[in-house]
Amino acid sequence: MIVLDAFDWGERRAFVRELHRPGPASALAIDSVLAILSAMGVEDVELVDAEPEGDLMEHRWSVYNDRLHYDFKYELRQKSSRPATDYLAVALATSGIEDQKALAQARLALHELFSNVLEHGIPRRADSAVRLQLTFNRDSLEGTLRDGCESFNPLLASPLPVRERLKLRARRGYGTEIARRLLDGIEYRELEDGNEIRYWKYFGEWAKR
Amino acid sequence: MSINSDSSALVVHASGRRADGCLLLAARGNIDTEGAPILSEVLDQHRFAGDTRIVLDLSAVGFMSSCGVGTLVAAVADFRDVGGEIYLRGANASLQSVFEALDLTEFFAVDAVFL
Repeated sequence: MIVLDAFDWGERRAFVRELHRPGPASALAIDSVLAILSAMGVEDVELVDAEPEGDLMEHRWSVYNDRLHYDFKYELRQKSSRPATDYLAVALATSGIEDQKALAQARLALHELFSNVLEHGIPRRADSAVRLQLTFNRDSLEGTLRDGCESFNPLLASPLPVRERLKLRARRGYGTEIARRLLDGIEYRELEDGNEIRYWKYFGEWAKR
Repeated sequence: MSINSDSSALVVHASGRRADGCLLLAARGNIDTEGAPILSEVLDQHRFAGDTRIVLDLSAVGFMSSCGVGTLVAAVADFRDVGGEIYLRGANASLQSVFEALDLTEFFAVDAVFL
């Protein structure tokens, strides 16, 4: 069930509340709402989840300009990365992208980046959070991972080559390498109050194999 | 959007023994930060008990993180130290892409019986 939650006439932006999980029925409902709003001249529609579940602090998804956006914020004091894994799985599965191999690669790469922050990030404040944003285009995924941790560029960490790690029987330290190899692009930027990683990945014929 | 979790705690159980003596282990769930220690413990138990040739069925494993990869790498090395081996079977496309990304396809032994 989709209900109009709020509407900003000045910005021509609608906030729509979704009351059950995404699926064919809700996709149809969303299409209907979008068609109505489009006829009203609304260009941006944001769907806001009624009640975040589990350990998630906040999550929302939106559709505008033919792009699907997911935004997920998670408290750093939560040490389990499983909610992030689950969120990613759902976000990717409902993205409409058909390239399953590339989706699986994106899921793993983002999981690794996210887990890295949870496991090694030093929060600047007690309520510091990590925020993952995903934007799906027809043939690509792009987004950012921002955290409120002390400055740390994971891309500068010079991991041992995988072959060396195998010799050492290393149990850890493969994560950043996985993200590097499975994503098409990844960049780091230091923020005033934390860190930002920008990433992108192509699907279909442009996908990295 | 509701979160419909596809994750599950890792369960590893012995599902039989092949004629050549290899113990068959079936894993189900995610081999991530929480699942990897479980897999490590089960493999250690069998190695200590003298079962040094294992076929590990991954067909019901939906997701493996870098932590799972590291655990598997260490376990394979431990088994080879005692003349044993862990043969992988049933890795889906997602797991295969992890192994390929890390150039691990040659490191891991694949159970050839079911190829």
